[in-house]
Amino acid sequence: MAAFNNIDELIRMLSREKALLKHMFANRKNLNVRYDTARELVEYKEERILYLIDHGVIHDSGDFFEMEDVYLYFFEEVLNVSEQINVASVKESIDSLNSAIDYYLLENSEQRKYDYLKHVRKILRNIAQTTFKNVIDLKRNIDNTYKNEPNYAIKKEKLKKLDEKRLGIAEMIRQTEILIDERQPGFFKLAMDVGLNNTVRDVKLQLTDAYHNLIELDRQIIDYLNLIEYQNRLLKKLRRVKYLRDQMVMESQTNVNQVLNSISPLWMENRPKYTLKLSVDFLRNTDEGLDALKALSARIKTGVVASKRKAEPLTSEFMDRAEKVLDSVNTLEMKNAFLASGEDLYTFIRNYNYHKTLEREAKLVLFCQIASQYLPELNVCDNFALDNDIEYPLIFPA
Amino acid sequence: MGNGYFYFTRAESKVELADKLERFSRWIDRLDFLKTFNSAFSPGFSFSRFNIMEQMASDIELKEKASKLYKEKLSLEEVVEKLVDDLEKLGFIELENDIDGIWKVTSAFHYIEELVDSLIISEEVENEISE
Repeated sequence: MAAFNNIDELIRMLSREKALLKHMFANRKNLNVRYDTARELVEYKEERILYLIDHGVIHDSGDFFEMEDVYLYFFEEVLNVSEQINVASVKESIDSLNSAIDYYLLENSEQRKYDYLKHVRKILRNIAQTTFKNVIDLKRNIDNTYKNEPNYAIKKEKLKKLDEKRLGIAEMIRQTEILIDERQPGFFKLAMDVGLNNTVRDVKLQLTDAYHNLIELDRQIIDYLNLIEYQNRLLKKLRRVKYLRDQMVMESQTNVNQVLNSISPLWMENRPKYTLKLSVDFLRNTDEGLDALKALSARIKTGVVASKRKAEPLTSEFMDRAEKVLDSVNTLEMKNAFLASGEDLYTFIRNYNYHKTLEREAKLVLFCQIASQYLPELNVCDNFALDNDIEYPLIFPA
Repeated sequence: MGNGYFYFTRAESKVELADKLERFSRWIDRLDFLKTFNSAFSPGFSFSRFNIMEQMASDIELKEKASKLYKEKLSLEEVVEKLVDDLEKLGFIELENDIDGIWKVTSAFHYIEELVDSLIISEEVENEISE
């Protein structure tokens, strides 16, 4: 078992095996750092692994590698992820504080007195620092335990233990304060100088701070424990109620009817059905309406086919050909005849010999028809002539 | 109440006791299922549909309870889907992360827990029930 000869060697080793140590630290909670992974991380140089084992940095536990506790705790402490709360170290500090004070009072040499004084100050500062860190760690642990511990029973136990730790820290704070104020008044009066004064003042402030935080943590722990208790109780009750319901005796053995009668929450009511009146036009005239109807009939599957009412058979009468003769005036022939004549259009139409007698009205219509239809071939004069009550323009061939 | 949730009620109820019992009874089943899935299922708890499916794969009791949750015959995945829907409709859970499909239980969940808690079980029966 070799040891590091000086700090240089140690730091060099830490720097060299950065990758491996990082991986092992990350996996410290699950035991799975196998030989192959380790070898890879030291670039396949087996001597490096042997070196680490030799110097007590890692050890080989058969299946996998583990980091030695010393280094593990060191990393956890410094990186503030420690889950250990060390109250014992504070107690030791208080003891060594007492000792240092005693030596100061016994010592005669000024120089060595001064040394003890510095030592006292260092210990005081240390106590305050450690307490402070402990309080922070405690808070973190409490939160983690409550939020992450899956097993309720274990959660409760852990929280209780943490509560005890809390009491431990509080006790230490109290003892330190008593020591400063009551136990060693002689020393503090005698040795009080600016430096010690400052230190004592700072320490007192830090300890008070820590103490307040502890009170808050006390409340927090009680809160969490209560919540756990509530959940447990609820679970038990739920199981009981379900059991009774399954046995069909819930109504008789509990006051559920009473409770349900007294409350009338909205979610228990039926959803109100608001009927919509469809627009028949929509159904009949739009594509979406048709699609909706098709989908509906496919779903209902009544297979209703709109049967057309068959009409009665045709009689022989319908089969006879009936002829109807429509008389109409051939405007083209009229126009040609007019062009050949010398009269104006109106007179021509009025005097023309039709096969059938034409009413005056019809003649007027014919006049307008020919005038508008063959306008390019006609010349409409500005002169107007009169025929009874009708004023008409004189139209001649163009 | 100061518990972080509200709910509506109507003065003269339009629902019969029998209906209320029926609905409440169904929620007892759902609560039981959820607590079996994870006893920490309460306000602040996060989960995903996948978690429930995973748990069902290794827990037969959970599968059993799931199949009894709804009257219609649904596949396990459909049951979980429907349950999550029902929980969301009443405001008991909220979508926390769309991409991973993670839901969070709201304080409103206390409502149904309180409702069950408020029931008083008659004395003799308390001791009879096996745990």
